[in-house]
Amino acid sequence: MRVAVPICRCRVSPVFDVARRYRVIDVHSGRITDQADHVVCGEPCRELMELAVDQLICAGITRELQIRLRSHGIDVMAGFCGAIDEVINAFLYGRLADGDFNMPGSEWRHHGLPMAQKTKG
Amino acid sequence: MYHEDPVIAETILDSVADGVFTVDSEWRITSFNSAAERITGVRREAALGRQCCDVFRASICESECALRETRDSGLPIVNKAVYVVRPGGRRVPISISTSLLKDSTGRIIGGVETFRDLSLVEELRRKLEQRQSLADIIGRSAVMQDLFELLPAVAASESTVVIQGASGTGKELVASAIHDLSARRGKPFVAINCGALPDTLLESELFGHTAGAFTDARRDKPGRFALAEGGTLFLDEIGDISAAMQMRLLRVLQEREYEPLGAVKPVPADVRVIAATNQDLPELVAAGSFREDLFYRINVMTIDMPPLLERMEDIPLLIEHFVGAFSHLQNKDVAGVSEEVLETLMGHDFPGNVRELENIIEHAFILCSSGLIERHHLPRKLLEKIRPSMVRPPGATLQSIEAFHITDALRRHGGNCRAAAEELGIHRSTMFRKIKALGITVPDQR
Repeated sequence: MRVAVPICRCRVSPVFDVARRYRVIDVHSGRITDQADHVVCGEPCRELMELAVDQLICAGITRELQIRLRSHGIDVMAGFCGAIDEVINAFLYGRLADGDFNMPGSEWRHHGLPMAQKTKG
Repeated sequence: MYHEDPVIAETILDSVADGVFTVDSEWRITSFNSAAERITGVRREAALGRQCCDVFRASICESECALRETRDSGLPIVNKAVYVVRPGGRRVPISISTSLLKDSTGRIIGGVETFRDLSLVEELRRKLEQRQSLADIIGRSAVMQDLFELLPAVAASESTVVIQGASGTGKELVASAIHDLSARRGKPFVAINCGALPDTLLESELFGHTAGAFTDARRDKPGRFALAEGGTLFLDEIGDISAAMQMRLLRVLQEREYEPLGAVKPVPADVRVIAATNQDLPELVAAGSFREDLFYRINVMTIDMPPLLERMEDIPLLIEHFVGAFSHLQNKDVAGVSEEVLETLMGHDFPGNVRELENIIEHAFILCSSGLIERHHLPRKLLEKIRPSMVRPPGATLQSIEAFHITDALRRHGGNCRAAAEELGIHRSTMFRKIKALGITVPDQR
């Protein structure tokens, strides 16, 4: 599974639509097998499709872009903020839903939901 | 709160119609007034102490943070137009102003940002500036806005126009719009598909014939040029006409006169010609199948019609238009399409362009008589092209999404739990636990 997270100053970018860099990680069996930072130079949906991304973890994202991504088969988990390494770790350990990285504003939780990649037990 | 009495300061800030928040030197929010709550959709309690960009989510937070600029330059920013993204994803246009907060010794202790909701202003401005339709052409995308801007100028001229675009992109609508916007609008608009007729019939259709011109010609018959006299003649699929017809057409365009079959003298033609093709005319010229002189004669102005795939943002508006039109035509009370249907349609490539979308909505109207058009109203062939995993139920719970992913993975792996667990990156025992807890039925293994 390939996951992208928009990155800005070591944190998740506040608005995906205008993010300039994505961290792209390959996850297999709950572990990162490869990762690279990608500089954005085009339309976000097309960029993610060209990068063959399966899942996007982001903070703010406009509804139009979210629908477009989902319609192209890209899973969107919106409304998460914080230090990028911590957010990615929480994702890998299935702890993203715990609430520690939720952005303020409850409506985000209805959009894209984290899927446990590795359970603690 | 930078006031001797925090309660008074808060009351003052809450009485202001504009959003106001303050930050400390670490960009943490220290105050957040009622208008800020309303505009950003974030409660004060949730905002206080958080990084301002996580709360504010403005388009400039990442690249040109206004408060950072003010801190670095010492200069305030006034009424800069940006947008914020509310929880749920709605984009809100705002104007922001910034200034520094200093203590009594002049030391910078933070910043203040005020912002005004421009949604209403923006909507009014958009309504004034932007047309969502011109004649019967629908679209609010940039390419269609460019077209709307271009058409009145094209219509005002008398030049021949070539409209290029794939089938179903609306070439005839554009030709008709040019006619309606032109000084010829009181006269006829006549269309003919040149590709649909054999050469001899096309000649007779275009130029007409006199009685006795050929065996069955018992009386005079006016051609399309005669019918379009004073108006506009739309020649669709012009790339399909034969070399002989190209020659005859060139002569009409050059001489402004034509000879009906069997006539002894030419008839003057006051007709504006608009041609259309779904082929690449320069390529046909290069291949020698289209006359170069005719190409340059008709190609005074070229309009390229974009495929629907290049203006996907117009789909909701087009759907609204077709739903309204079919509701009216068929006397049905269909309100629109469900979010799931919208997602499905947004994920389709539309090789048949707008006409294909129109056909899909017409198909749905046969099965749906009221309420919202749902996924099962869509053509089966369209649904087969869209993978089930590409469409997710909106507003679902965590459990239902989890169940959705697991069921989908099990289906793809023919009920093989080990393979599905591997794909989802979870342990097999966790998979079994979740299958049991979520009440998922495992399909029989292939």
